[in-house]
Amino acid sequence: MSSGDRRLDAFASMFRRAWHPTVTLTVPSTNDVVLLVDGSNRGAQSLASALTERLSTNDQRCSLRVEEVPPGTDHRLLLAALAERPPDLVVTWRNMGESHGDLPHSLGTLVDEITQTVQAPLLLLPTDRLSAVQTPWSHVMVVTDHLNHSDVAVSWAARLCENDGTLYLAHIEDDANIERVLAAIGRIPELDTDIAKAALPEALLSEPRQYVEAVAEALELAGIEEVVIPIVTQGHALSDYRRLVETHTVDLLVVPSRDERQLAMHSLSHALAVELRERPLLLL
Amino acid sequence: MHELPPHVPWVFGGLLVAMVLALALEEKLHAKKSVITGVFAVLALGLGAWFHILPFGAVTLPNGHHVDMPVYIPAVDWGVITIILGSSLFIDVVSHSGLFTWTAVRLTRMSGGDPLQLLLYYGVLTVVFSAVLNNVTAMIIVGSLTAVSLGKLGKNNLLLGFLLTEGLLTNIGGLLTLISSVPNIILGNMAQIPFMRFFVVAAPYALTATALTLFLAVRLFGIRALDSAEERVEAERLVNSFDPNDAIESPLFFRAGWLLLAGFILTISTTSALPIASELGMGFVAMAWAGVALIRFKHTVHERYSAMDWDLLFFFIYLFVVINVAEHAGVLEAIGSAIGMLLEMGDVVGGTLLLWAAAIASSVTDNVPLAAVLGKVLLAKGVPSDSHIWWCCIFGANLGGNFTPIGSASTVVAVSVMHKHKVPMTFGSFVKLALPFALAHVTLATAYVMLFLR
Repeated sequence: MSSGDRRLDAFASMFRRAWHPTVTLTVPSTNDVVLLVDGSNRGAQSLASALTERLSTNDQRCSLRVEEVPPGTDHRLLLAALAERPPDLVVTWRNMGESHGDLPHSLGTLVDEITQTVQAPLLLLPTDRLSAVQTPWSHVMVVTDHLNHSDVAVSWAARLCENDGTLYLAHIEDDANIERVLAAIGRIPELDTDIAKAALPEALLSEPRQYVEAVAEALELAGIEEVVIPIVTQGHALSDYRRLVETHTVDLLVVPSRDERQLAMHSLSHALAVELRERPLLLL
Repeated sequence: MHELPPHVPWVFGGLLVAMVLALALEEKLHAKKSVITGVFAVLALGLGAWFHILPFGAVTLPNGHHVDMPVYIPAVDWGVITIILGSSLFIDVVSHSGLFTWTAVRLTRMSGGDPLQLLLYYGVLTVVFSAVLNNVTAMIIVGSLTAVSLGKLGKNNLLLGFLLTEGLLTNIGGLLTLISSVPNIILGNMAQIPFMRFFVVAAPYALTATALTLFLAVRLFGIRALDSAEERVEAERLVNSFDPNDAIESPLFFRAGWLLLAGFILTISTTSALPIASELGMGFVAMAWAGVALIRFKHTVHERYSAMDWDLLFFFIYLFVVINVAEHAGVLEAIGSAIGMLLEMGDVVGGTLLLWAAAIASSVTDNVPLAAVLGKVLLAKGVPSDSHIWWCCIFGANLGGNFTPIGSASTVVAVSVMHKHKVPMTFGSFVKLALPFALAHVTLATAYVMLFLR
């Protein structure tokens, strides 16, 4: 690279750095919500009522319909219907429609299929469903790792969080990713490894930091009164999220699970959906 | 000096032509300018000594003292070298305060993201930066910002028009002051044109040519204002995501940067009127300000030194040596005779031909040797400093760079930004797109010189 190219690159980086992420908040609709229940679920009506209460606001009354999915039935018609006319939100729980009950390391075939084929957001309830819905959602955490879809995630989180609640905007840059990039840089003689080691983690964290700052500003502008707490750090993503959820007694975890190129869940959101089974989890 | 054998001017004339050709083929030779001119300087000095044309011996100082120094030391115009070194060093230090990037980002935000306003703002910014900085740095700053901002606005289709316009405007801005481009420094110094006089003469042309260039760019590249209110709101939201303060590492140094720049411009523009500075010259002023600015980096001054374009500085030093030897060999006298024939055609015809010849020559080769040779020839012919002939050379040497992508270093940068962003641009397509602009610039310059400076 010539000195001219280096200077060009340096100025382009400077201007790219000066461009801060923007946030566009929306008001997610909950007019059309589908609750998928096992055929045998006797508490479906009380759960539906609690959900209707939870998802309604002064401006928007939630309209919820219950779909029964008895174990062993063919899910294809249901999936086709959901894919063709996605509702505003699908609510269900792990291993829905499975005859073998709850398998602790799996989401189940139907839930897997929904995450792969249906555009609608998916709310996964924990085993103690009614209590999870009836408890006020005062502590809501948004995983903002996936910057492309984070605006939608923040909008949902702000919409579902109690008015005086706390919104945690979390971003954990996985050590493994940083190490992998640094190892690759270490194999390129033209790049200074020491500079990369010092600058890369900061460079990776600066955009998420700017993003959460922009979210806080956007929420304030929108008149939303929730307390916003940014958590931007590096570490082991899965175990750190588990720790954060416990430490902050999170009532709802919102996870952007799809990237721009595919509908299917990316690896971290899948791991979180499988591992964090004790809290409601909204996958977007 | 003794009578020269008739073949000597031809030998050294051939050497000069070979060097100019080698500089034009710099990319093909994969050799830096300083190496090319360095080789020719060594050859010229060796042949000069062989032919006994060099004035060996002590140099007599104005106070009558004699000083022994190598023959190639007084061959170099150290006034020009110190202006280039001092101002480059000064600008490099000041640019670290973030003031140029801050200004660029502020203007981007002020445009509201509207493509037409953005072009006008970036156009003016290019001209001002080219006048204050050097053309290459101006193109690097504005070109990289253009690519980033148009990319964020989703207007990558306008990149070609923007970058080409900016590349051409660097050579207009390069005309604005005595220190805006190397040909200005060389020719202005030789003609002893004061800084303010240079600015007063060049500014009306630069202003008109900038307006003309932007008008042509809007027409030829179809750059339009945003139609709907929704588009304007969205574009404004996007450009407001630029944070101008991001480039400022120290608010104190940022403020000091403005003061330093103002002080530098003020002193350099009034050098000829300042009691001590007028005797020490603009090179001293530039070096002194560089020294003051470097205090900010007193512990890491080596980093600032290493950021200098040493290739360019050594290129000038070696070039002056080659031209000096060529002067002793009678080459410049021969070129002077040819130019004399042009000038004998009259003020208008001769001046016009000289301006266009300089423009065409600098479109395919480096304008620095051209300026140095022309300057020496005009000096030798005793052309007075207020003659319009000097301006023919200044305008021609600067504007010729707009005809081809290799005509000036800043258009080379513009093309490399295009290539970096996958905008196809060949030599032929550049010439085709730039020709209306370049013809308009040179025609306007001819009219301006003949109507107002003659």
